[in-house]
Amino acid sequence: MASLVPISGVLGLQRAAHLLRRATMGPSVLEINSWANMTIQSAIVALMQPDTLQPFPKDPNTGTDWIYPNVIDPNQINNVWSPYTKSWWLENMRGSSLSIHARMMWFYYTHFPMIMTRIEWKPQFPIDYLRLIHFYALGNYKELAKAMCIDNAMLIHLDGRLNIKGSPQENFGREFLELFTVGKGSIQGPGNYTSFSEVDVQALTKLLTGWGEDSTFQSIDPVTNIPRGKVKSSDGVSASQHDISQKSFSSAFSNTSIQTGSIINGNASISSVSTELDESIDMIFNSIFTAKHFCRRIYREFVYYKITPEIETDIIDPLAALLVSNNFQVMPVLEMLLSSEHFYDVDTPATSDNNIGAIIKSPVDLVIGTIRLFNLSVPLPTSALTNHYNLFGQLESQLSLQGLELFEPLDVAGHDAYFQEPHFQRNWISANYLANRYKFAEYVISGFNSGSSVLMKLDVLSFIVNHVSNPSDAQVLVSELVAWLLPINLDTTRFDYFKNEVFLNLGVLNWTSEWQNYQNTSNEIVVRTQLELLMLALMQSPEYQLY
Amino acid sequence: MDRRLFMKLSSLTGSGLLLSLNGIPLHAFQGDSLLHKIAKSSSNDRVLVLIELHGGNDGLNTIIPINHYGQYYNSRANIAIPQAGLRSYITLDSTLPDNQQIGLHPDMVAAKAMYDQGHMAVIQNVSYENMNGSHFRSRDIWMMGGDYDEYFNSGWMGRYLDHYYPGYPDNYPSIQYPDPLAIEIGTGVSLAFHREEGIPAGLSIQNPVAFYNLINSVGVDPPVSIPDTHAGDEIEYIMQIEKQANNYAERLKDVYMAGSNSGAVYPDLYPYIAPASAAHNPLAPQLKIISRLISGGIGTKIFICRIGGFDTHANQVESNNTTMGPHAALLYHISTAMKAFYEDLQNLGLADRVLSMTFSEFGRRVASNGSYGTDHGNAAPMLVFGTCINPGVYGTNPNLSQLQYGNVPMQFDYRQVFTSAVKDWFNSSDEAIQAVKFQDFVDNRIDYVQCKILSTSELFKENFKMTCYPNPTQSSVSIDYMIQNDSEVHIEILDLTSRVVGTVEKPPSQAGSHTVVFQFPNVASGTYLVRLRANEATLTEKIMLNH
Repeated sequence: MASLVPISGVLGLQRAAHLLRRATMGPSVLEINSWANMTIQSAIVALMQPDTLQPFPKDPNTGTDWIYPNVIDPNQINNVWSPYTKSWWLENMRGSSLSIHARMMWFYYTHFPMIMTRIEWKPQFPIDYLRLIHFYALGNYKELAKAMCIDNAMLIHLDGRLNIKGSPQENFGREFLELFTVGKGSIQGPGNYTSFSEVDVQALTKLLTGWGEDSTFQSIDPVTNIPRGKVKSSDGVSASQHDISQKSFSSAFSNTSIQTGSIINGNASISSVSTELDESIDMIFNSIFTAKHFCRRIYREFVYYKITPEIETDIIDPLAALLVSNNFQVMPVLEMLLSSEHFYDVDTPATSDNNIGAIIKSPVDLVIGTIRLFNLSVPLPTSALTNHYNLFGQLESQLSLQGLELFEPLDVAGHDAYFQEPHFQRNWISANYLANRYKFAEYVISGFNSGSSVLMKLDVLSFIVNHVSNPSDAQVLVSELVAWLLPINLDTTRFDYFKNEVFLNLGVLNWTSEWQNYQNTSNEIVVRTQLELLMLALMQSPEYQLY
Repeated sequence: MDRRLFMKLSSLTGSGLLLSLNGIPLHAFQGDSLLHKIAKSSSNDRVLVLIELHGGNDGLNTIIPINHYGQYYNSRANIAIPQAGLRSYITLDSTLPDNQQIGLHPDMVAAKAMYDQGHMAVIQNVSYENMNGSHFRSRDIWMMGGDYDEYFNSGWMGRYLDHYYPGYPDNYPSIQYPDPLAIEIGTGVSLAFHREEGIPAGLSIQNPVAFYNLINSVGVDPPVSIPDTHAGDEIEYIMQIEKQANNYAERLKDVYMAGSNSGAVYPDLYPYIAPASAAHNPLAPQLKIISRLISGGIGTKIFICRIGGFDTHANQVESNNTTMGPHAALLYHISTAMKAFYEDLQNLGLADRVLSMTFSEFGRRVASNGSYGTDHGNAAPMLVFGTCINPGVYGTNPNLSQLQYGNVPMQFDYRQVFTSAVKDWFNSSDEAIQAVKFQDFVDNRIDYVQCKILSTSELFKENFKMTCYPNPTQSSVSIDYMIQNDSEVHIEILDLTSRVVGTVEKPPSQAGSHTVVFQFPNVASGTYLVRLRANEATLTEKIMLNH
């Protein structure tokens, strides 16, 4: 039986690496080593510390950001800022502390997906969207879901701003139920998806009429302090485009009926439109389907994509109950899951359902995780803005070659790996994507350049010199690298493959003498070549694609 | 990605094979027993090209129901295609009855030309029972080939390929089947080609040459033994994809290089007003690759192209001109690309082997919304293209005064359309239809395939069969045939250009089994067809003549 009982004691290297790979944007080698000595309790406490966002991205033309009251350069077209925003987010991931914060931001981006080309005509909106998921990433899922309904970016992305009385526009209402909250169950009858029905899409759509974006940034959310959308009004007190008729929901929501509270000049009062939103959020979060849907998403992010009936009963149900009893504060759920015997594969002696190493890295995890693992230095926005954008533009291209168009999923449901049943994460692996993942390893070692200057590069030899305890011993060298790079233990054949194949003509003993030779003469050519081959082999393996 | 495997493979599938399948340079067949086998196995060399319109195509602005024009206009005045004027709808065929009178979008001039040549059919109101308003679930249903409440792990195309090519991927590529069974033009993997277990039967590629170069530049040997854990499951999946890429990359490049496009001009730009993102033809480059691969002799049975942009909740037309905008551009792109594709194929002499059709997860609401767009709907037309089809309009115009929840109700199940492709186009056995799970749709499949090859079982029902031997032969061939009813029998021997090289004089016409012998005249070695006609049906067998 799958168990949420916490493990105890000191983590040790493998569990520390497992926890950090799953819960952060990736640990460095030094961090894996130091966290190995922590207990699970202290590790969890450390992981739950909040992280801060870096200063807003700057436009190299103006030298400032474009966050209100700053303005964008009117002489440029709207999409020039999009790559800067993406770079900013990737740099935030790269520079994030060893906290679950950045991981949860990524999670919420996959849960509330956003297509930047739909909103880039107001280039502050995507940044505000990122600020919003950052604000709530360690906090309350329900509050975030509500804030998403009236987020400027979301109002545009899913057409909420076009949803007006007399002319309902279902795009947002449907996805809010199907993707963001209750999720879709099996079909019970025409238009009845167990957890909601077409009637609910229509009622919720009606309830959400009358909101629009505020491109003057005057509507500030009092809790987050982040600009948001507003209720459209022609007289300042009443909602000119809100439908005041009764909103009747189906039995999936206990036949709830929501009514506009107060009417001014024949329209809903502005405050009553907000009240209706609050009531609908309460109603949707009272459905147990919301907590369950969310906990399945969490499980897939942190553990594995296959959810068996056993997992549903032993893991999802108790986590959902915990989420509800904490009024949708997410941290207790994360703490319980990441401390659990199930997470560390100790709840059953059988190995066939072990989950360590079983998640296929997203391209972000591969690219950002690799940079963090080797602690590669990059040009920083504070000191080398042009080179910074240049490098991160190249990294964005790498991501898209691997199947992740950051901020541009093909579907409003987001990237396939997070919703496309039944194969989920396997959608990251096609022949093309896989080859490009392998190719990325080559670039890491050969270096990302701008003209003749190197922007980022893994110096394999100095990495080995600085980290491996005894590089002259091939056995030690390979086993330390394997433990840092690969999430699973290798059998002898596979271990020897890396050890032998990549030391090609040298042999293990010759390696020791070559290493001594290098130390005596500083002639590095032989050892550097062999070490680069070894590193490339490890990173171009199927095993390195997993964590 | 694995050089050793590569070497092995390329020696297996030497370049002699490349030109063998499509009767292009026939001399390639001579005196090579390997090629003989292939020739025999490729009795049905037909190809299916599926074009996925991603997002839900607005059928009513694609195909306008002329006999309900008043209701059509009143339901969607802000996006309706006008009845008169310079850019009014194009009347498809004035000879059709009233309830089939349809207008094409004014940007479908090329489609109209194809219809006039007998190369296009329209199948009206295609859907399934209990249409699911979710993009994702609905798309899954079309790909899976199931009912609204069925959940398969495989796609219908995957099951079709699994039936005819058992043991995938372990037994492939083989001498008989050197090519990918299916190809998706693009980089990702969709559900369509998924089989019940293991990797999908299809391969996704963009440019075959770039793909080859990429695959050949990366990778290490895969592990020999796989751990019995979930991580092991994922490693195995990755290894299989890697092997698939290795297996086919060189072959694809060779076929592509051996092939060529004719002088047909593939379109690129939309000539009217639409956002820049809709300007370029997304389909034409994909079809151009397919045409070239077919001309190079690829044996792949199914191709999928995917074009996005159909989820037109907002601004599907220009606000000041309902005949232009993103949706118009897409229709223009499809029509012009298909026309160029078939011109190309006809120039190459390959058109009769290729059947194409569009599909989309659903149509859109009859009434437009306030934002010059349409919400998710139900049934919509499919467009079928080919030189070997029964052109025309299948089904009748939707009655816009009898809608279902504001949507066009279903007239044909989507599987009625696909079953014809599997059964009549691919000439599949009853067992194959069972495996695909289309058996309930055989009797009411839609008769749009003109060049039917009757399957053996069906022929037997008609008590009509033929066997030719020896094959290959040096000079003469014995033809066994059986007819149940008395019937005039004609036996002709043709070359691959359909030139008659000889006939059997007065074959027996009484019911029963007969054997006749045909002595080849003084003709070159190569492939010939024995064609037997009786009871208004035709049987064809390929024979290799090898002096």
